[in-house]
Amino acid sequence: MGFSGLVAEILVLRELLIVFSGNELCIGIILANWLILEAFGCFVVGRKAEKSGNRLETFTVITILFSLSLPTAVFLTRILKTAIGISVGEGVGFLPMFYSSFLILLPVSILHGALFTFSCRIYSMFSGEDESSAGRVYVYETVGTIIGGIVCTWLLIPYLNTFQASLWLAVLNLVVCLVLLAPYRKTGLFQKAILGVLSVLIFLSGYLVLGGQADRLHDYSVKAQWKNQNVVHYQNSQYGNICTLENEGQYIFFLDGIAGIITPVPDIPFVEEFVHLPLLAHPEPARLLVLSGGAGGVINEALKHPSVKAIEYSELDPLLLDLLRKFPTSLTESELNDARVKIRHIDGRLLLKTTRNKYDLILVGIHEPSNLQANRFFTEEFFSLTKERLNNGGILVLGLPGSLTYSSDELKNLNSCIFNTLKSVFSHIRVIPGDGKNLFLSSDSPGISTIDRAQIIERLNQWNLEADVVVPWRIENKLHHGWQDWFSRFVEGGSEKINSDFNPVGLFYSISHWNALFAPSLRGLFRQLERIDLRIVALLPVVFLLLYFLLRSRNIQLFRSGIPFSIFTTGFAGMIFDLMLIFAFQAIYGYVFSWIGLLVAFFMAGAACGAMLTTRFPEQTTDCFKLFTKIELVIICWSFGWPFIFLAVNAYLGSPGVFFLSKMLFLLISLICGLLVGAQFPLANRIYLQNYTSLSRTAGLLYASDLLGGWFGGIAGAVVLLPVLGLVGTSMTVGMLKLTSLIVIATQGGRYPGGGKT
Amino acid sequence: MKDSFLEKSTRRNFLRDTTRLFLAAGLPSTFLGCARNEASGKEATTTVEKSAKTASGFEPAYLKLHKTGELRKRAEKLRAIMQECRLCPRQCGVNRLEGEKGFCRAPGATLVVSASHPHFGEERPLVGKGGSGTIFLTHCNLRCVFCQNWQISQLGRGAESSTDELAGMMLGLQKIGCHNINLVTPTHYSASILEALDTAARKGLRLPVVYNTSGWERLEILKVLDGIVDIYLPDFKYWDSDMSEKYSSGAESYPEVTREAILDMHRQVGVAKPAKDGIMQRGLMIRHLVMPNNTAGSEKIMEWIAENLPKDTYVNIMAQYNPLYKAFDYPEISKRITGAEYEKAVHRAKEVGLTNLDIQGYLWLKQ
Repeated sequence: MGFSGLVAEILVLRELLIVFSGNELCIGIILANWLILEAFGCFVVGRKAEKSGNRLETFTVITILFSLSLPTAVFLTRILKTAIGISVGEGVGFLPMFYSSFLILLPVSILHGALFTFSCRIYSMFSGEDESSAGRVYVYETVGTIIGGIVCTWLLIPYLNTFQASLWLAVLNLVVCLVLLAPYRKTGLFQKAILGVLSVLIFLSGYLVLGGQADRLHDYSVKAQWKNQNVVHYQNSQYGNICTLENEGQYIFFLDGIAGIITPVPDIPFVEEFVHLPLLAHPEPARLLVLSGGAGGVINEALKHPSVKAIEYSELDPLLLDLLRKFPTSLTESELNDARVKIRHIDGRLLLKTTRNKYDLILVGIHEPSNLQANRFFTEEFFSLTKERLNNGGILVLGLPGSLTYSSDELKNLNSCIFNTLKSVFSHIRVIPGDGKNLFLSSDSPGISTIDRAQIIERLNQWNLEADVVVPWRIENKLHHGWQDWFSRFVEGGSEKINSDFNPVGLFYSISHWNALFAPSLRGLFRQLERIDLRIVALLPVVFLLLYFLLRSRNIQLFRSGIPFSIFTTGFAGMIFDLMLIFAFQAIYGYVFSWIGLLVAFFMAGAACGAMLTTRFPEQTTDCFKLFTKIELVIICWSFGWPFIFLAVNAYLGSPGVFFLSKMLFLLISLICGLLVGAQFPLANRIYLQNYTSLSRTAGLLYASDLLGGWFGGIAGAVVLLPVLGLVGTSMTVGMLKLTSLIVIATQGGRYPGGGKT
Repeated sequence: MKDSFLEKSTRRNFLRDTTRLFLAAGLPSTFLGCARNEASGKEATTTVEKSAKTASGFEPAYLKLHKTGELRKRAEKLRAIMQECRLCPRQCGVNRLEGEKGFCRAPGATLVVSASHPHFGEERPLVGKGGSGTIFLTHCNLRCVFCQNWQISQLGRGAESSTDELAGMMLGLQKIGCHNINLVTPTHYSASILEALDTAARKGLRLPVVYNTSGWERLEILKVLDGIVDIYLPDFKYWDSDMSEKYSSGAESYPEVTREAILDMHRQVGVAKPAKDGIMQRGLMIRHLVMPNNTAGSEKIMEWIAENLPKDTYVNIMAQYNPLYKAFDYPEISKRITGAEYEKAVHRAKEVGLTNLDIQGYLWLKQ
C-alpha cells in the first residue's frame, strides 16, 4: 500500500507538473492537496470501516476504485489544459492550479487514505492484536514507500509510460486483494461476485497493458495534451519529462511542459546578447563553461569567436542530448559535434566544485531561482565558487526574469537581491535589462563596464569576424549607458538581502514574482510573509500555549488533543527534516540523483526502524507515555542542534577525507531524523487506544494528524520557512513547535493512565 | 507651413531655446550659434516645466490645441464616446463610464499602467541619449494569440492610475531626459491620455507624443487625434483578413482598417525624418513583424507601402517572432521564422524601392 501510494503520488505529481510548468510553489500545492485529501480519506472514510461488516470486501472494493482512479487521474491531467481552455504556451494561474489538482487528486488520495485505516483493521483481524497493529501497518507502509521509490525511479519511469505503470500497479493491488479474499471464496455470493470482478479486472488491466491498449491511450492523451501537434517523442527520465514536437523541420523540445529549445532556429535576440556581449567584452575568451542550456544556439554562437579553444558544457539530463541527436538539425549537429565542445552529464554546481579547470567565461543557462535546486545557481556561495574558477578578467554571465513592460515590486526585489549578492562577491557588474530577461555580467576586471559599440567594432575587426550588419541596433542598444541608470532606479528601495545556500531568499522572491503575475490577490499575503522572522515564529507558540491554557482553565475538554497534536507536529517535523536534508545536500554536494534517492530511502528506513522498535519495545503500555515524552524531548534537542553539524562540516570541506565522511554523515543524519519521526506513531496509537477503543478511528485520526502536519510542513517549509528563515531558522521553528506540543502533552500527562505525574 | 516648421524644429534648437528661455526669463529667444552639450540639455529639460510659454524651436503638436482649450474639448469628446464605447474598431458599445468592461477588458474608464520608464531598446531615432519615455498601458483590444506581453495585455497586470498621475509620469520622463512620450497600446485609453496630456502641457510638457499602436484604429478617432500626436508608430501586422480574424480574436477588418488608418496617420504627420542629432520629432514609423509561414503577408505589405506612401517611409522589419501564449494552438505559427523567411521580406521591401528600412541582421555574426 505504501508502495502504491508513493508510486501513485510520483506518477500524478510528475504529470501535473508538466501541465503546471511548476516552481517550488506548484510542487507544494500539489503535495499539499494530496496529503490533505489523504488525511481526509483515512479519517472520515476510513472511520466507516468500523461500521462495515465485510471489511475485507470493502477493502477490496476500495482497492478496485483506487486502481481505476489512478489512470483516470493521469488521463484527466493530460486533457486538463484543453478542458479549462488554456493553451500549451500559457501558464496556469494559482487558483485553477489549486482546484484542478484538488479535483484530480480527490478520488486517488481519499481512496488511498481510506485504505490505510482499513489495512489496520484487517491486520488486527488477521493477527488478533489491536494496539500495535496501526504501528505495524505504519511500518509496512513505510517499507512499501521505500520500495515504491526505488522501483518507480529506476524501473517504472525509465521503462514504462505513465499508463502502463499505473495499470501494472492496478494489477498488483488487485492480485493482493485476490489472495486475501481467496480463503473466503465459499462464504457467500457477495464474496464470489467480488472475486469474479477482481479476476475480470486483473485480466482487463493485463490485456490493456500487454495488448497495447495502454499505449494507445497514452498516445491519445499525449496528443490531446499537445493540442494535436506532431508529437515525435515523449519520454520520462529520472530528472523530468521531455516532449518533442516537430513542425515543418523545426523541433520544439518541451522540458517539463515548458518550451525550452527550438531547433534549428535559436531565440536570436536572447542568444545573441547572452553570448556575444560577454565574449566581445572579454579581451581573449578561450575557455568557456556553460552550465545547462548550451545546446540549441548558445554554443553555436560562442563557436563563431575564433579565440574560443574549449567549451565545457554540463547538462544534467542525458535524455535531452540523446533527443537532440535523435532529431538532428544542422544547428545542433555542428555545435554538439565540434571538437572543442565537451559535454558532461553532471550537475553544474558539482562540476564547478570538482573541476580543476579555470575558465574565461562561465555562462549559467538557468534563468530563474524558481525552485530550491535552481536557486543554488544564484547564491553567494555559488558566485564565490565561480570566482575561484575564473581566470583573471573572467566573466560570469547569468540571466534573471526581467520586464520592460511590467514593473512590480516582486520583480524589483528578485533582481535587487541577486544584484546585491553578486555585488558582495564581484567588483564590477554590468546589468543589461531586457524584455523577459535581464542579463548580468560580473567580473573583477572593469572591462565589462566600458564595452561599447566602438570596442565591439574593434574586436570584430581584430578577429576578422564577418557580420551581417556591423553592429545591429538590437545589440548596440543593449550597451546603451542609459540602462545603468535605468537599473539603479529600478532596484531602488528593493530588497537588500543576500541570497545564500542556507538562506535561499532568492527563491522566495521568485515565487512572489510568479504569484504577482498569476494571483495578484495574494500579493499582500506574500509581502507579509517576507517579514517573518524568528521572533515572530517564536511568538506564535507562546500565543498558542496561552490560548490553550486559557481554554483549559475554562474546563473545556481538550485533553484528547495532546497526542494528535504531537503527531501533527511530528509530521510537520518529518516533512521539514526531509526537505532540509535534500536541500542541504544539494547545496553542499550538488544534485546527484542517486544520492538524493539514498537520502530519502535512509530517512524512510529510519522511520520504519523507529516505528518497529517502539511497536515491540515497551511491553508495558504504561511506559509508552514516558517514552513518547522522551522522544519528544530528543526531537526538540535534535531540531536545535543538527543544522549546526552541517554548517560545521561545510566549513571543513576542503580535504577529501572530510568530503567523503561528511556524505556518510548525511546518511546517518537522515537515518536519525527518520528514526525519531517514525518512533512516535506506534506509541501514540497505543497510548490513545487505552482511552478509546476504536482502532480504525484512532489509526485514522493519528494518521490524518501526521499527514496534516506533513501538509503544513510541505507548503510552509518549501515556500516560506526555508527561503525566508533559512536552514537554521527553519530548524528552530520545528524545535519551537515541538516544544509547544511537548508542553501540551506534559501538562495533560495526568489524564493518561500511567502518564508522568499521576 | 508644416514642412518649414519641421526643418526648424530640431532637438538642439529646442533644448537651446528652452534653456535660453529659462535663463532669460521669457525674453524672445534668438539664435545662440554654438552647440550645447548634453549637460545643459538636461538642465533645459528639467527647467522647462516652469515655462508655460512656447519655445520657438520644436513645439509639440498638442501645445497649440492645449492653449486654445481644444485639447480639453477633444478629450471630453473621446470620453463621451466611452459611454457607448466606440474607441476602437470593435465598437462593442459598453458603457465604460459606468465601469462596464468591453472586449479590451479594461476596467471601465479606469486607467491601468503596467510600467513607465526610459526605454533604450526602441527604434534608434526614438532612443537617442536619454531614451524613449515609454508608458505601457494594460489590456488590449486586439488580443493576438501570440502576444508576448499577455500578462499585461490579457491579464491586465499593472497599477490603476488617475489621469493626473499619468500626467505626472509624462513630466517625470521629461525631467530625466527622455526624448519623447511613447504611449504603448493607447487605443482604448485615448480619452485619459488626452486629458493627461492637457494637464501635463499646462505644467510644462514639451516632448513629442509617440502613439505606439497596433495600427487598428478608427478614422473617426484618428481625426480627433489630428494635431495632437507627433509620431505615429503603428504596426502593420497582417495583409490577409483571414489571418487577422484567426490570430487576433476575430479582427477580420484589420488589414482594411489599418491601411486606411496608416494613410491618415501619414496625412497628419508625414514622413519621419530625424533632426540633425538623429532624434525623431514627427512623422510616421511603421513596424512589421515577420511571422512564420508568411502568415503576416510581409511581401504584400511592403508592396502596398511602396505604392501608397512615399518610398522613404520609415519601416522597421522585425525578426523576433517567438511562439508564445496561445500560439501553440496553431501549428503554422508555433515555430520560429527562418532566415530565409526574413530575408524574403527584406528583399521584397528593397525591390519595391523602400529606402528607409530598419533591418535587423538575422543571425548577426557569420560562422
